[in-house]
Amino acid sequence: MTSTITTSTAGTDPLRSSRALLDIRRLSVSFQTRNGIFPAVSDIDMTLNEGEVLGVVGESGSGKSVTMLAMMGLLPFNATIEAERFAFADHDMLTLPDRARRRLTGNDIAMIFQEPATSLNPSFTIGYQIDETLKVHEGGRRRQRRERAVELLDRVGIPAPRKRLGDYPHQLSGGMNQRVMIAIAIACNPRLLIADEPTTALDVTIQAQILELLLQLQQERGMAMILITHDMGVVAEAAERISVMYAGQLVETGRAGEVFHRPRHPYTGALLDALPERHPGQARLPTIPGVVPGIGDRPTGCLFNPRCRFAREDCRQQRPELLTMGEADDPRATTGHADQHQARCFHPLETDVSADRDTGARS
Amino acid sequence: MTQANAQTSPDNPTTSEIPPAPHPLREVWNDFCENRAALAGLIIIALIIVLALLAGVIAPHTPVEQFREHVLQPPFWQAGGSLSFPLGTDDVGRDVLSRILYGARLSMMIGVIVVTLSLVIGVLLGLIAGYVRGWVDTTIMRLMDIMLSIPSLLLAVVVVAVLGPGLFNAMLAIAIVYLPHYVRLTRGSVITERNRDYVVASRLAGAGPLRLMFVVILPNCLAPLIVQATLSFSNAVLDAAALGFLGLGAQPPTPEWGSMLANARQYVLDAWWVVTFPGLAILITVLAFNIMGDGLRDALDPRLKR
Amino acid sequence: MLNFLFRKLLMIVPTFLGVTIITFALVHMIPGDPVAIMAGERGLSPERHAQMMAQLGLDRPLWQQYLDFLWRLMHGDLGQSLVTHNAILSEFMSRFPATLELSVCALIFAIGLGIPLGVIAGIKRGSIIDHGVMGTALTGYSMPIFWWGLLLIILFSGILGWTPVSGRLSSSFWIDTPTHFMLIDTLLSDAPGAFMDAVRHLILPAVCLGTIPLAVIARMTRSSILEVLGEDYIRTARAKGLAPWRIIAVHALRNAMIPVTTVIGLQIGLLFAGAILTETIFSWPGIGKWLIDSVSRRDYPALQGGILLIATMVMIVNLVVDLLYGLINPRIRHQAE
Repeated sequence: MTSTITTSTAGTDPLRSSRALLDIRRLSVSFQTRNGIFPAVSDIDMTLNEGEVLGVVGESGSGKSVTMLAMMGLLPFNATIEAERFAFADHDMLTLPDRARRRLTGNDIAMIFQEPATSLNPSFTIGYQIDETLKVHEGGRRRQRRERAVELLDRVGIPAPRKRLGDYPHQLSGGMNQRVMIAIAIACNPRLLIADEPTTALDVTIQAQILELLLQLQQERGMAMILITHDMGVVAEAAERISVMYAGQLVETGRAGEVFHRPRHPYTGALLDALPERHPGQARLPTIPGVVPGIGDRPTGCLFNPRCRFAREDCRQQRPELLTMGEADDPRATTGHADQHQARCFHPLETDVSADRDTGARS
Repeated sequence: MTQANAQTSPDNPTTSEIPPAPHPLREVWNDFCENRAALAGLIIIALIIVLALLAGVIAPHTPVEQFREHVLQPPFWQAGGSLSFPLGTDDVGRDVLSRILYGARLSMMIGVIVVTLSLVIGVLLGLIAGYVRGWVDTTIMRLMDIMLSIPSLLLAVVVVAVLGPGLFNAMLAIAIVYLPHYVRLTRGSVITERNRDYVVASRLAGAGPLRLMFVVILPNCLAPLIVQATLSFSNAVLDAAALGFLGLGAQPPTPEWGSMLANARQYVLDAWWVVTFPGLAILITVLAFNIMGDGLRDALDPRLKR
Repeated sequence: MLNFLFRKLLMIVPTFLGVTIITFALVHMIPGDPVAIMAGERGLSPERHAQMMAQLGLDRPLWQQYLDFLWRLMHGDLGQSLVTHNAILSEFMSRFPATLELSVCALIFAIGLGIPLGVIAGIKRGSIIDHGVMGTALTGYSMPIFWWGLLLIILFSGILGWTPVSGRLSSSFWIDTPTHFMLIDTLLSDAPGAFMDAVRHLILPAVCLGTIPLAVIARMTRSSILEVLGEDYIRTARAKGLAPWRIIAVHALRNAMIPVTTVIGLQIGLLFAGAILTETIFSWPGIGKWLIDSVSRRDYPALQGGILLIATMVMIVNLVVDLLYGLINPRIRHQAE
């Protein structure tokens, strides 16, 4: 579709390729509000190769969605984006003109959102809403596009797809609407699909189906996917790598297995500890006291220190940098930037949870 | 968008101490003052009221005195004008400025009487409809629906036609025409309020229906009524002038703005000032009330607050 | 849809009956009786008076007279004018096209200008354009249109000399009026320049009558657009990579128009009221002027018939607006089915 197909064919080993699909260094987003400038996200690093699945985890207000909206160019006008490097498929997203950027969004990068019920336009049929993406990005004859729309609906598991084309969103259930959103997102075979809490608003029984569908599509089409969630259990099933965010910062990142079995940041540890699977038979799950700090009450030192069980004096004085965690048994630790296990903590956890509690990572 | 809100919402620091909550009226006043346009509207209204009250002192002449040697004299800055008739004179030599100043008295009086009449009767009917429900409610609301299906100025024209032209009948007609708005508004609020816990509590405490209606429920329905009253004040001024213009309102030589225009119509191409100034007075008055009404609505509407 | 229509029609019936009662009652509340008014200054002998009362059925009990009135109404008989002695229905119908033509043009002016202005103000929220449009709209909303019409005449007829002061067509043209719509009739006639002459006559009254609806529509469109632009589906549209104009024109506007249609529907009733003033200023030979003339001539049957017809028309227009509302809002449509 675009001229930059080179990235996927250039390197002999796509995982090791220095030209990743998505390459973000020190991305910061701030909002100009009535009460001053509010930094929503600061110094985020994120790298993603073709066909890779990244899980981004964090509580509400941690800056996950802001980061993704920045990637899509969907931030409101009062937002400012700064970054050392912000590249998608060799396009510099910081300088890319709007028109060229719109050719990427919806086409090479697509996104699905949390609320399927309100994310579809109530005044148009779902057929129209799928067709619109195809028409804008690929053109072609109307009849062909209609067939594509039917195929897409069929692929995302909507029964009698031909009949559904003329339906309006309010005639479908939440799960069905999310399937339509997925159909719209994959319509132009994107290279990167961002799923922002795609299952949060759905019934529990539907959640697993939608997640399963997303993973199937990812495998089948070889697209990269960023899965945003606040549910550790969901990333455990799906992601190859995990980034944990807290109060607009990346606090831990690494390969899924490592982060799961040897979490180094106390926040990651606490999140994992809150998984029901790790406490079979227990009535009450451990919780993290307090809430994510907002603009007015960001603490000095480590942002997590007021809620951290292990906080010491230096944690309250200085803000830690993202540090590579030495893992002697892992040869990758010193090679690739993307695969390093990093944590933003002066006193990383030492415990290895994999030995006794293996139920978390089911992948 | 939603994410941005989620990010900015915690910026009311929960940790800092909360200042003592201001009196609700004080708060409304503060919100109102933040809206500079609304404040300007209020100042203009105050000015009009002062001018209306002091018309006898400020006006250079009486509104009805005819200076036969100064017929259709232009305003002072045009050739042939003089400062003794600053805004010129009309076709029988009356001073336009003096008539406008005395007209302000009439317009304010019209507004006050119309709003009071329709407010009192409308609120009463609305309270009864909303509190009693049943066939009383159905009858009242059906009647209001019927009144609403006839365009308001047209209904006012018919009422005046029945009662006979004149300022008082015009005011009565306009007050009748505005009734449905107050009735609907009051009834709607009463129906939502009457099942609230505080009303049930007062009923259990032995409050009679009259007390429940007027002392318990009514004060909680006031905010939208105040806004409606401000907006219908401006409409009353406008509609009374329209009836005056049609010859159905104030009769000559009453210095009412609308009837001044009716009289000036025939000179529209010869003496622009007799047409322009009375209309400008209507526009400024109506605009000031509308701006203030908009500001009041924003200040009183809790949904729009932070 | 048919079911929906039927239920709405059913709800109109009691309101219509109510209007007939009110108009009937109003005319009977007028002091003096029609026979005395018809006789005028000359007066009648008591015998002749009684005879005429009986002839007109005015000596019977009120409820009988009302039922009689209703019966004739159902047969399209609204009575006779006391002044011209013509059937009121035909008097009304001969003037109605003029009012309709004026109102439609005023509404086209109001919608055609109000929606784009509201959209621009909404998109450029807080800008000078926004403040300018909203300030103008509030002024327009507060405008005494009988004065506004006079100002337009002073400027465009007096100073610039572009437009005529009154009427629908210059007296130099003498054309057939098969449809009674002057714009159509002048096009059908082969008189050169007649159509442009009709347009010049129409333009000031239409602008005058359209000013308040224009202001209301612009304000409503702006607030509606602002609300819609915050919706999730606008974010989805942006995520599809659609061009900004397409997001506004297709995704935002379609939804923003739902409340605006209701407001436009409400304006139509007000247009009839505004027509009274506009037609008086511009000597436009329509319903409004006819009603005011009827009042001053004390032609009460004409007034009664006119009000009844206008109220009926407003009810029908409201019904049509309800149906349109269902057409553009699929959620309502499916509820109704």
